[in-house]
Amino acid sequence: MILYDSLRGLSWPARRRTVGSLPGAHRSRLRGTAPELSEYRLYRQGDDPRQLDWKLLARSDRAYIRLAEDRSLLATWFVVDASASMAFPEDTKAKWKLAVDITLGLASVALAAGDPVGLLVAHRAPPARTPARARRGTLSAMASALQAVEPADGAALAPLLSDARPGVRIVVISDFLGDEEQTRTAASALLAVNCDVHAVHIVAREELDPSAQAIRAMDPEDNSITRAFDEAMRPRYIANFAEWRRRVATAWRHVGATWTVVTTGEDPALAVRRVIGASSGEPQVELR
Amino acid sequence: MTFLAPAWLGLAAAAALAVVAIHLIAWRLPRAVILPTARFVPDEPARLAARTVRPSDLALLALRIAIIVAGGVAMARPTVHSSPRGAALVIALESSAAIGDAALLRDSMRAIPRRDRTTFVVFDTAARVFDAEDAAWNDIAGPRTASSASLTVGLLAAIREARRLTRDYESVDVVLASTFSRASFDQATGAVRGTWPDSIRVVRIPLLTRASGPTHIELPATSDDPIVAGLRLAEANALLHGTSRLVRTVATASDSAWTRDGHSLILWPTAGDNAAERVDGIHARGFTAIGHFIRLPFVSDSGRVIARWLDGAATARETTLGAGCIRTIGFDVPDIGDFVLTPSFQRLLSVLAGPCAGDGAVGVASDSAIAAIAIPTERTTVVPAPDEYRSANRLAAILMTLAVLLAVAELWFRRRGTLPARAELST
Repeated sequence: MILYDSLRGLSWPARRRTVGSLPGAHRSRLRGTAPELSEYRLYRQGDDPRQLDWKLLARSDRAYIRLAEDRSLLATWFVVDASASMAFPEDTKAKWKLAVDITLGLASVALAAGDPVGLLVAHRAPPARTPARARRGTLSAMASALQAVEPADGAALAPLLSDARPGVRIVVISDFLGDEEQTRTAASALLAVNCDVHAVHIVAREELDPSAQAIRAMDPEDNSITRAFDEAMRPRYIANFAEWRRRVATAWRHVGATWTVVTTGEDPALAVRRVIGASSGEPQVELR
Repeated sequence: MTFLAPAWLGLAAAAALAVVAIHLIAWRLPRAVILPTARFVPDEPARLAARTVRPSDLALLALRIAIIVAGGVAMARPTVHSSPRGAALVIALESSAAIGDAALLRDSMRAIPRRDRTTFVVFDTAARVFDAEDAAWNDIAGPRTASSASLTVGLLAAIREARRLTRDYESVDVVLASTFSRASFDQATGAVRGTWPDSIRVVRIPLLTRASGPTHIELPATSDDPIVAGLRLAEANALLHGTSRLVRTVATASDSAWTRDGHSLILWPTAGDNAAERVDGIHARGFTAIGHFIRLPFVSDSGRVIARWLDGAATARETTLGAGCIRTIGFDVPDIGDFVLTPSFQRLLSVLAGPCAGDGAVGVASDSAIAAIAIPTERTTVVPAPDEYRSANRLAAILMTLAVLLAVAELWFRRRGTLPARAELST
């Protein structure tokens, strides 16, 4: 509740004009009969005579029709990664909890604007799915669905994106340690069909800045990856990880998606504001 | 400090070495930790990362070794002795009815110089320990029911006391004052004596001298009692010794007074008319009489058993009364038949109507048997005294408690060390 209270009054505009027909809060590609005047245009044959500005016709003896900006709803789908790597650290599962908080925070902002919100959880087959709805109780249903999920095993995000319809808003919340490349390819295809894609990269502090303790680091999703880690390897690990994050962020931004890195320990409300800020083109600062 | 089970120390040392070895192996193989970004760690051999040893690992190792050492020492049952000083004396005094004059015994003991501590063990068939000399003499002056003492019992108690005193006194002497009658020796006497390595000073006490009057047995004036007939024949055949009196009904006060003068009174109840007889056997002093007997119930189970049924049940008991003794017989014979005149029954009668304490027990043991008690023995296995056991148990309990506490601390330390290990990547 504290999270939702701190997000009250926040708006999350679409990055591009929507194609929806139902009236909503986002600017639509369609121009119609909305009360808000956009511009006048000379009447052309075939135009609806009801849009003629009769007063202007009387004053100037020229026939103009009134054009208005239409606003429509934007369906928002959250694709949440529930693979084993999200259940890290093992004792706190901070990555998964942060992903859940951000999902519900963004969903509450979208629902406040009247947008339908749906949920897809990349988990063991079949993936958890909540249909896109705007009615009361949708947020509770999403929360229940996410609470029921225990991150485990490997999970693919790309197939879930492939099923998305054109013209919707997609928010991918993941650590992108699985099928990142396929997911990015699917996201670029969605962007080509007028979808709005936001990538939220969840990173654990322990991943960014590990201790120098000598350990055998094991990948939770790939048993074949077991690496010795100690103080000598720490700088190279940090450099490799930073380079990968930079490269992935550049690639996602290059295809047209927004990219927001959220670190565990960060205030979820602040993280939600940063994701929304990224969609409006505000400069992004990766919090550490 | 000594250990009752030193083998456990070796086991503990071996276990501690094993723990050290496991620690060293564990140091060579780093702990496995889940890290989703493990793919960004350079792929190099694991041994490169195995050289880092945390101080907490050494503390854990020390804690585990402390647990093993404490447990091992506890299992080894340590005993702590204080440095002994001074001299102690243990005087074992026989108090059976075989001792003729207690005053003579007391005079003999006065000649023995007392030490820093003198303990008295008064024994007959059981032993009592006294620290005060007066209490010991009071016990000896009391009624003496046992006809003879058991040297095994006396030695056992005296050696146990002597061993207990060796922890506190530099030298402990043992004095054994006894009649050394043949009856006081048994098969365990030598073995018990062997548990005390030093010499034992022996003081011989004269045996009670009984009046050596003519052989005579007083019999009831009945003509049809087979027991009386058998005893008459035994007397005629000179199988009886000493002065005896047969009572077939109830003993009177005059019988008791007569017995106190050093005679033997034979209480031999008669069986009823309808008593069941059966073929049975009675064993007494090395021979067995088999014939028709009638079992009679005993009214008391006190006294020395001098004859038994073949199934082991007592059928004749002897109780010391003053200078004499009362024998209670628990069987009868049928009125019909000449079984009482047979040699086997005659020998049985010679035991039942013989002098008090029996023929075989009369007399002092040989000088060699007495000397065997006096001379030092080869040191044998020392059986710890109960106090020593208690001391070891107390110390072992403390050490075992310490080991358990250390184990709990190790568990806490390990959990405390594990949680950061999971979250260790955060620091």
